[in-house]
Amino acid sequence: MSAQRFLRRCLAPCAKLLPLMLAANLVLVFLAILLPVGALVGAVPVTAANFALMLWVLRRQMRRADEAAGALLAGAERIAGGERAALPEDGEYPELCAALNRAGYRAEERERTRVEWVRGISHDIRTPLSLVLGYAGALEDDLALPAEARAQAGIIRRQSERLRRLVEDLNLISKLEAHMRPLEPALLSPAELARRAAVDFLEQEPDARWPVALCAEGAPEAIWGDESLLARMLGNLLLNAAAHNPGGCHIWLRVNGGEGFCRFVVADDGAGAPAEKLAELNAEDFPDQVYRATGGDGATHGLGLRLVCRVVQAHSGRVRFANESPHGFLAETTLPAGRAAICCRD
Amino acid sequence: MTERTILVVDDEPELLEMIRAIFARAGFARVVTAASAAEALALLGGRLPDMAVLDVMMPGMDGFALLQEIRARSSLPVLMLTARGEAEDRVSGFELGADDYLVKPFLPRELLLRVRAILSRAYPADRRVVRLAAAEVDLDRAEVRRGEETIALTAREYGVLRRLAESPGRIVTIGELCQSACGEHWQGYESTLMTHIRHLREKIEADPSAPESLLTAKGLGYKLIVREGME
Repeated sequence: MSAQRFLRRCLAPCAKLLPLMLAANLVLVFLAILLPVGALVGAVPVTAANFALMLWVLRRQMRRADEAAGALLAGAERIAGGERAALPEDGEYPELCAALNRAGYRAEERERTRVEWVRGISHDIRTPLSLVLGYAGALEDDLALPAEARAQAGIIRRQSERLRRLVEDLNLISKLEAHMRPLEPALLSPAELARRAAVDFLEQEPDARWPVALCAEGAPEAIWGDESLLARMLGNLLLNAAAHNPGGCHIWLRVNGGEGFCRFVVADDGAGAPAEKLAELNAEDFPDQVYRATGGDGATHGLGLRLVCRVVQAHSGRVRFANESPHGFLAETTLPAGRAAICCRD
Repeated sequence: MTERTILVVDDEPELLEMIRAIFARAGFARVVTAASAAEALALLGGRLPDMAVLDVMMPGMDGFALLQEIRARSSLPVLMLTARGEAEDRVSGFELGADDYLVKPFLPRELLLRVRAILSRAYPADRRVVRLAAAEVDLDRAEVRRGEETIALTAREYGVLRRLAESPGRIVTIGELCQSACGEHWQGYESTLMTHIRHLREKIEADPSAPESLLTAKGLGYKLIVREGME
């Protein structure tokens, strides 16, 4: 809105009082001509009252315009956050509010369509992937086959599992980002969460290239959280360590905490990440960046870690990525232990 | 267990054939297949199988509707297969009476593990004897037989050993074992679990200080190495 229109809007109520003010001023002029002294005495309070009335009306309108602008800004921010604007269309700036409400509704519909599209794609992929994974697994376990054939089947099986995980991550991220995956809070043992994540990882990668050492000393007895999301978060961090160190590395999974918080740390002694990649991962808007692949080693810092960040966000926590000394990578997630922190995000 | 009859229902013929082959390789000789819910209902009108594996998304009558029809007639154990994996689908399946749920795509060993677990729970009359390196565990009688000696298991020891025997060769976490021993509120039971493990080793191992059957996965849990599984 231009400054001119803004002022015009603030001063509009004054127009309603104009006839009254004009009449009062005419009386003053008349009195000034007839009775200079009386006019002088009467003119001062009347003039002062005129100005005070105009100032009061101006101030009231500015305040109302300011409040309306604040509501519009809040509505625009809700749209940016993927929610509806929900602005009243019978107050100030009704046309603008209606337009923002329509824009928010359309943004929500687009988001819902995107989530359904991703869900449909991931559903369609699952059956052919079932056949690939199923037969690859069967061939890998078939002792009648030569060792080389079984090893090749193992490669197909592992890559199929990676595809499976990518599809699941994509589905989950799209739902979290569209606020279509409500949290299911439960009281959990963080040490047991970590143990199950480590066991699941070791079962997926049984060839012992990535041994996992767990330390849960100092772990809180219980935290509130969504069990499947937190399990996914830990699983992705472990798989990330393996994916970036195909030759093998040691992995440490540490759980500790303090008053009202719990910390999960997944660290390895592998290659670590380049400085620019760390900066990208630690950027506040990293989860909002489009999935991208790195060059170089062909490994990706995309979907898996993005899901980790979304899960941490959903739990009102924070995540930090760093390089270990002398070499290696570290991911540290700190989560509030109480229920209120996650329930307020539902 | 492998003499049990399993009905598999899926509208994808290649997937149906793959599942049949997985069961056949695992020794399940009696596998019956159906490509639709209607075909499955026709088969169920004859002799009931011992277990059913149902796909959820099928044209016409879907897996949930078929499950309802099955539940109206029997308490046949059922494993649902789905390509969706949504939480609400799993809840719907369990509410309708499914025994377990497996999301596609799955590995053959995942399918076999679930099926064996369901059959063990559904048909406990099957004699359950687990053969270890130095002893034999009779899960029906909660006894360990070592040579001529028969040693009774306590209730908690039985709970722990039964849970380990359900997943032979696989790590079972400390929390899962505590839960088997003392139930849902197991926090704080970890040190008592170590005592049960020590007593179990004294009963089942030739040398408890160098265990061959009940192994520790440091920081994670324990696993049971069996010579032969449950009969």
